[in-house]
Amino acid sequence: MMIRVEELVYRYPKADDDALKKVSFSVQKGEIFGLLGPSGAGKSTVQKVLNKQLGGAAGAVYFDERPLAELGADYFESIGVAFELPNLYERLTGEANLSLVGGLYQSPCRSPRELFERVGMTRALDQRVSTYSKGMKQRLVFLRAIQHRPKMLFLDEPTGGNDPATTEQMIGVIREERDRGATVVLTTHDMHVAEALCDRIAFINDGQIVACDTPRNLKLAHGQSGIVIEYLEGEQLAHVVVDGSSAEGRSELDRLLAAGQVQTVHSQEATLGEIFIKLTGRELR
Amino acid sequence: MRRMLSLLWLDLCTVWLSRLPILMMVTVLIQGLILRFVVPEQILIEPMVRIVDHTDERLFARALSKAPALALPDKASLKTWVGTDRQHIGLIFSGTHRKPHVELLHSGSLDSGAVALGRTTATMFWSRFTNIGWDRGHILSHLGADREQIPFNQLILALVLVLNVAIGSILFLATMIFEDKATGAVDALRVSPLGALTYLTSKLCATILTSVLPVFVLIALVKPEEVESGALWLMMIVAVVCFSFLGAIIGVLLRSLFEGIYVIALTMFALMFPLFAYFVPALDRVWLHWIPTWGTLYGVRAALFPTWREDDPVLAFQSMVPALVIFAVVALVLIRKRMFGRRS
Repeated sequence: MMIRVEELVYRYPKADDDALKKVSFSVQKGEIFGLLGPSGAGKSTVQKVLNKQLGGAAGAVYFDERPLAELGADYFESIGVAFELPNLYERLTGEANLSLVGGLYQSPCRSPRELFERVGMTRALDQRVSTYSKGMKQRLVFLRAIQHRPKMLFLDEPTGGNDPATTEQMIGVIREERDRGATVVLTTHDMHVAEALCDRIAFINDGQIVACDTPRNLKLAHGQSGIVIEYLEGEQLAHVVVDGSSAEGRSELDRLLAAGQVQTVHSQEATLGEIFIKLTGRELR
Repeated sequence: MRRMLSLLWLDLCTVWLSRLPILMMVTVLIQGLILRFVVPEQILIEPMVRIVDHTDERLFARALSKAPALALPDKASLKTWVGTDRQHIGLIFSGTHRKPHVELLHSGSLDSGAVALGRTTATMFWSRFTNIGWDRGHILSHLGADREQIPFNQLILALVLVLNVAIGSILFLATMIFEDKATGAVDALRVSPLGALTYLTSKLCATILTSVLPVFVLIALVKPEEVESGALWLMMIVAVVCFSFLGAIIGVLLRSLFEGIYVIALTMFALMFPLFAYFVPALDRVWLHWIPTWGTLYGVRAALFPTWREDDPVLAFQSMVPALVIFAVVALVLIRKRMFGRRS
């Protein structure tokens, strides 16, 4: 087990209520674990406690079966953190941002050029960060987090501000990190990213985990098994929901297909966003 | 060491790209040129005379009663007064009108106008009783070894050095911390293996390296022979470290340079009190000696003009070391607690 969290409780100074209320979960080695929830739900607080930016939390956190509180500077050699906001030295070049921060780690870092190539930013290597777009800055923050080959990655909205093609590229790089052996805790609002990457997902709302499972199991548990069929009835478009698991449903589907009137066929599998709304009554945003 | 060098390079980039060192370089260049070519080496100050009447019959009692400011009660007080300024001349009249005697006390050079004034004054006072020639009846006493007069522009150099080092060190270090906070880079550093001590040490080194150039330019322009003075550089580096810690405290406690500029201005105003006392010794108070600029100023002056007051370096370190220790401890505690301290 890479991360084990037991009944974590945290309250910010001067706050009236706990930001985390007995949160418990665990992350296996080499797993990509997603934390999903609306703003203010407690996702970032969990990450901050795990990467030791916040102290004074009640409960227990173990990293590689060792209590987090007992870990010193070595812990920071083992983790990489990509923040949601691009906290970079804007007056320096992208290369300088990587190489100078990389120098803070004892473990050898990958070359900035190699990393820039992986996310399609080679031409921006020598440019000042202040000239980068939001998406480029976000990619640079991500590269800074992975450059020293950490065992544990905390990624907060790693694909924010990027177009779909670049997002796919980033998803590929995160998978490569997982394949290298890194464990990833991912916070995102992007359901596509969560679904494409996460081995397991925890929905967090109001400081509590309301569901935690694989994306497939969550969909099976909270979706419907029916199939929606759109077909032409004369010149009018009509639709019918059939139960694919029953004999009646299958024969209805065969009849419509044989008649050649079927326009579209959709499963009624719930999206992660719909599951979250169903569980909490709140939207992911 | 690698970690330290990386962070140092990062800090140097941050402070140089803020353009503050360039601004400071331009400022010290202008200051140096003004001190070298505009501020005169000699400032003419009217010499002053004081008299002690030790004649057997108090021959000058009536004359001195008409100008009481001229009279001092005894030789000891006259010696003290003469010792405070090389333009002061003391006259001690003794003997009788038949056997006149004059002792001149002076701490300046023998051929100065002050000595001439003293001799003329003595001649004028005794002329109502007798004629004293230049060749008899005079003793010229020098209080301590005669010294070269310190050129006025070089005297100002000590003050300008201290002022620039104080402003520069505080601004450079505070700016580096403000930059880390403004960009959020401090969060990235907090989740790296970096510790508070390395963080602060790197910034101190960056400030020292950045301050060396302006200090060098000033000294090279105004008193080039002191560029190789180890004592002066030691004093300057200790001063940079001391004021840098103060800058670190300001940097941690405040959010940005915009918010901090008023605090920095007030701090500089407080640090300038000893600088006023430098020119007006009457303003010198014991509590001023606790302000680190006092120690820096007199230490730098002692390094620049080694024979002026032999105890200056000791006094300087006595003044600076407590401030340095206090600032260092407070800065480190604040950085640990506020920037790197919430990790347990």
